[in-house]
Amino acid sequence: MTVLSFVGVLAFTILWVVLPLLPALRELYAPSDVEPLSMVGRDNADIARFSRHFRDYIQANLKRLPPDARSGTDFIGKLPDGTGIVHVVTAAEGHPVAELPADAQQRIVVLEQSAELPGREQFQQELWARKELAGGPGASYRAILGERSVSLADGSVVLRWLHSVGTLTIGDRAHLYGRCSSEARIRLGRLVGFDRLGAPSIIVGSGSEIVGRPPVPESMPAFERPERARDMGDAIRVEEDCVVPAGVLVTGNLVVAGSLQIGIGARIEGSVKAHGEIQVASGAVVVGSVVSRKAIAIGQKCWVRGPIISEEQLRLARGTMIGTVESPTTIVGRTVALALGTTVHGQVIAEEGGQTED
Amino acid sequence: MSSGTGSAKAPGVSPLRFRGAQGGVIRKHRAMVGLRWTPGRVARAVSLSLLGFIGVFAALPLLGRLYAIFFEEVVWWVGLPAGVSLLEIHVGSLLTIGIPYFRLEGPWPGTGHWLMVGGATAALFLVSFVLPDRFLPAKYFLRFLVMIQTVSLGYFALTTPPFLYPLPGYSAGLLTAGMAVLVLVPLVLGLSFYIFDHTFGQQLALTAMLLVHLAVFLPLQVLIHAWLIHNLSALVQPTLFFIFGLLLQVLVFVAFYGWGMSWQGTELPASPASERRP
Amino acid sequence: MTPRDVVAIGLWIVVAILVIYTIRHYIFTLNRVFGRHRQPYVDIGVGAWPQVAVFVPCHNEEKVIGGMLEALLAADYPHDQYYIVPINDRSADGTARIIDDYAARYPGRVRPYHRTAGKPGKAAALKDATGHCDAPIFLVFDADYLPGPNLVRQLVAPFFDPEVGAVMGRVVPHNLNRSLLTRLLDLERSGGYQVDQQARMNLRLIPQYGGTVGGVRRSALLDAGDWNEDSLAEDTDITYRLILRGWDVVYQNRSECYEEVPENWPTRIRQVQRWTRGHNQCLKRYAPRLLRFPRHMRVAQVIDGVLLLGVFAVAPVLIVGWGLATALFFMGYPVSQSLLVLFAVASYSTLGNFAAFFEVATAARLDGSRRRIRLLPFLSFGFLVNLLAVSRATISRTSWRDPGKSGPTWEKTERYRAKGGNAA
Repeated sequence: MTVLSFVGVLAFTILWVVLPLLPALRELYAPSDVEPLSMVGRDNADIARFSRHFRDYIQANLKRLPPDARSGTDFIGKLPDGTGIVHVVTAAEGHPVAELPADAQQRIVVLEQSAELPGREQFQQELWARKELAGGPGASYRAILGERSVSLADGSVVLRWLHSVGTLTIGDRAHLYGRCSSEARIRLGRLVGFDRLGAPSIIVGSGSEIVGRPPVPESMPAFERPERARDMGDAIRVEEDCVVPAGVLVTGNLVVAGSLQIGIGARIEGSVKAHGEIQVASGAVVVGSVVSRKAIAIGQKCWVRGPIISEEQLRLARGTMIGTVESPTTIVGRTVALALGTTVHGQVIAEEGGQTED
Repeated sequence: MSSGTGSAKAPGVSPLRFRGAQGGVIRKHRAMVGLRWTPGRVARAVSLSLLGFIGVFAALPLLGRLYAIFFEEVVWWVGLPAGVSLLEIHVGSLLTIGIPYFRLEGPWPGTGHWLMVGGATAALFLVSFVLPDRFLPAKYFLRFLVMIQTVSLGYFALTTPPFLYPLPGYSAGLLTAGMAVLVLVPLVLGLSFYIFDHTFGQQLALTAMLLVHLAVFLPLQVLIHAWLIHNLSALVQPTLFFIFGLLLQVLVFVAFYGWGMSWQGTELPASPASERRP
Repeated sequence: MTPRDVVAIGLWIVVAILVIYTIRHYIFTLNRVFGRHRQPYVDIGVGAWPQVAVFVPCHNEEKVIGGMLEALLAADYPHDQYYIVPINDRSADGTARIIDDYAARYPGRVRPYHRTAGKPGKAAALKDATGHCDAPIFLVFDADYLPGPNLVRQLVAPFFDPEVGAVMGRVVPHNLNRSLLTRLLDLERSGGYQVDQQARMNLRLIPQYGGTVGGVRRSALLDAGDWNEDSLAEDTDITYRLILRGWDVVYQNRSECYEEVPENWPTRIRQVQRWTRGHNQCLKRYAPRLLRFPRHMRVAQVIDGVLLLGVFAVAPVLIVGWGLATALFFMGYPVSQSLLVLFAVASYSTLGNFAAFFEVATAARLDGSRRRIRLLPFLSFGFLVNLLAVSRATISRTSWRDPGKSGPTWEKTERYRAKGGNAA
C-alpha cells in the first residue's frame, strides 16, 4: 500500500513537472510557428518601391470598377476592396482642379487633370496625380504619387512616401517623413525635414548643377606619409589623428584610427575612413567614399564621389556636390544637415532625421 | 559643427505616420527592431524583481513551516519510517528559516540494492543502444545518467561505510538549495523577462505561476529522493543529486520562461514580417 | 592543501570560465535588445558598384548547384560588374555538367573553374580559384544556399568603407519544418545571428566571417596572407588574420540568405565536429597572437576575440567541470553546510545554465517568431548533443594538429533538395 502511495506521489510529481512543458509539447506536435522567416526580398535602399506598389495596386483596382464608374465622369465610391476613392476626371477647361469633394480627404484621391489645391487639407489616404500637382500651404498628405511634376507649398507634410516622375519642388518648412523620390529632380526649400531622399539630382535652395567631375589640377604635391603609418593592402593605415595638408594629393585609400582633417583644395584619389571625426575643408575633392564612425563635415564647394557614411552627424556645407548625374551615390548619417546650395546626386538617408538649413 | 538638424513636427503627426493604409501598424524589419530602455521599463523591472525577491525571502519561514507540516503528514503515507526535524538557518539577524528534514538513514547498499540498481543501470545502458538515431539526445542522456550511476557503483564497491552524505543532511541541503532557487527566480526574471514589452499582468502571472509551481515541487522532490534513497540505498543518491536535483528546477524555469516569452507583447512584432500596404 | 582542495580549486576555475561566457551571453543579449543598432552600410542603394566575383565552391553538389546559379543570375547587380565562378573540385556526380551548361547559356557571366589537381578542401579550392581572379571584391556562397536578388548589393555595400576586409550576412534555415532538430537549429541560428553577431557588430568587437554568405576584399585577403589551405575553418582563419592586420569584419543582420540545416542528428554531429576541429585549430594559431594585445585593437576586442576562439573549447571544460563536481561530491565537500556555497551553486545552476536560453528566446522574439520559443526546453537536447560531439572532436588529435600534406578533405553537410537544383 505504501509503495502504491509512493507511486501515486511520484506520478503526481512527474505530471507536475510535465505541466509547464505542455505548451512546448503542443508546439512540437501541433506546430503553429514552423515557417521559415520570410525573406522580405525587397531592399531597404529601394526608395521608390512603395510608390510602385501603390501604382500597381490602384491601376488594378481602377480597372475592376464597374463600367459606370469608368464612364469619364467624376466618381466617388469604393474600390473593389472597400477602400474609399475619389476619382476626379473632369475640370473646367484650361483650368486645373482647384477644389475637391467634401470627404475626399478620407479617401484615395485620383486626379486625372492638373490640380492646384488651396492648402490646409489633411489627406488620410494616398493621392495619385496623373498630371501636374501643386499642393497648397500647410497641407498634410499620407502619400503622393505624381506622374508629372509635383510642387508642395510651405509647411506641407508628407507622412509616408512621395514619388514624382517629374520635378519635385518642396517649399520652406515642409516635412517629408518616410521616403521621398523623383525620377528627375528634387528641389528643397529652407528648413525642410526629411528621412530619405532619392533623385538623380537633389538640390537645396538655389544650388547649381555641375555636370561631370571638377578638373584635375596639373600638378599637386604628394601626401607625405605620417611616421606611424603602414601599408594595409591597398590602403595606408595611420594609427593616430591625421591631417592632409591643403593642396596635397593622396593616391590610394586612407584609413585613420583617429580623426582626419582634409585641407583646403586637397585631393584624395581614393576613399577615406576615420574612427574619429572627419572634416573636409572647402574645395577639397575625394574621388571615393568618406566613411567615419563619428561625425563628418564636408566644407564648401567640395566634391565627393561617394558614398558618404557617418555613424553620427553628417553636414554638407554650401556649394558642395556629391556624386554626379552619371554616377549617383548615397550619403548616410544618423542626422544629416544640408546647407543651401548643396547638390546630391543619388540618395540621402538620415536615420534619425535630416533637415535643410536656413 | 552646427546641428541644423532635427525634424519639424506637424501637430498630431506621429500616430498617423506609422498607421498602415487599412489601419494596421507598419513595423520595422526584424534586423532593425529593438526596445527602448525607458525609465518606466527600468523602474518596473527593478521594482518587480526586488519586491519579488524580498517577498519570497520573507515567505521562506512560512514555507519552511508548511513543508514541515507536509512532511509530517506524508511520511507515514508513503511508508517512510522517519521523523521530521527542523534545521534552523539564520540569515544574519533578519530571518530564521526552519528547513525540515527527515530523520532517516540511507542504508549502505546490500545485495538486493546492488542487484536492483545495477540491473537497472545495465538495462538503461542497453536501451541507449537500442533506441533509433532520431532519439539520439535521449540516448546520450541515458548514457550520461548511466555514467554517473556507474561512478557511484564503483565508489560504493571500493569504499566502506558510512556514506559522506547522511540522508538527513542531504534532504535539508536539497531543500535549502531549492529554496535558494526560489528566491533567485524574481531576480532572473528581472534580467530576462521583465525587461521586455509584456504587460504588467503577464509579468506578474508568469512570476506567480513559476513560484507556485516550484514551491509545490520542492517538497515533493525531496520526499521522492528520500524515499528512493531509503529503499534503494545511497547507491542512487549521486544520480538523484546531479541529474534530478537542481537541473529539474532549471528545466521547469526554462519551460515557463519559454511559454512566457511566446506571449504577445505590446511593442515587438507579434509575427514575422508580412505583406502589408505601406 | 588536500586533494579535495585541489579538486575544488579546479572546479572553481571551470566555474569562473563558464561565468565569463555567461556574462558575455547576457551582455550581448541586452545590447541587442536595448543597444544602438549598427548597420551603417545597409542603406546604400546607389553607388559606383565595384566589380564582384562570386565564388561557389562545389564538391558533388548536383542536387543544389543549379538552384544556386539561378538565384545568383537573378541578382540585382550591374551585369557588367558581376560574374559567377562555380568551383568544381573533382566532383564525381553531375556537378561539372550542370556548371558547364550554365556557362554555355550565360557566357561571361558564369565562368567555371574546374580543379583537377591540388589539395582537396574548400579553402584550397578558394585559394586556387581566387588566385585567377582580379575582381576587387570576392563573395563566397555555399552551394546549398539561396540568395535573394538584393543580397549581392547588400553584401558589397560595406566594401565602400576602405577599412572593411570581410562581410557576413545572416543565415536563415528554410527547411526548419522537417524535424525537431531543424526547428531547434533554427532557434540556435537565430540566437547566433540576430543576437550574438549583431551585438558584436554593435559593440565593435569581432563579428565572424562565416564563409557561406559573405565576402572578402581581394586586397585584404592578399594582405592577410590569402586563404589558408590547411585550415579546417577557412572562414574563422581569415577572420582572425584580417583582424590582426587591422581590417574590419562587418556583420549585416539585414542581409539574409536561406540555408539548409541538418535534418538528422548524425549529420548535425558531423557538422559540429567539423566546426570544432576548425575552430580549435584557429584557437591554437591565433589566441597567442591576440594575447599580445596588438596596438590597433581595443582590449575588449582582444578579450572577445579570445572568447570567440574558445567557444568550442568550452564544452570539454564543462564536462571536466562535471567530472570535478562528481569527484568533489564523492570526496565529501561540505556543500550542504555552507549557505553561501549553496546560493552560489543555485545561482550558477539557474543564471549560468539559463544564459543561452535567454539569448535564443530573445532572438526569436525579435524575429517575431514568438510561438516557436515554446520549444525552448527542447534546446537542452541540442545542447547535450553539442556538448558531447564538440568534446569528442576537441579531444581528438585532429583538432590540434595541422592536416598535413594531404590537407583537409571536403567536408560538408548533407543536401536534401532534389537533384538538378530544384530550389524548393
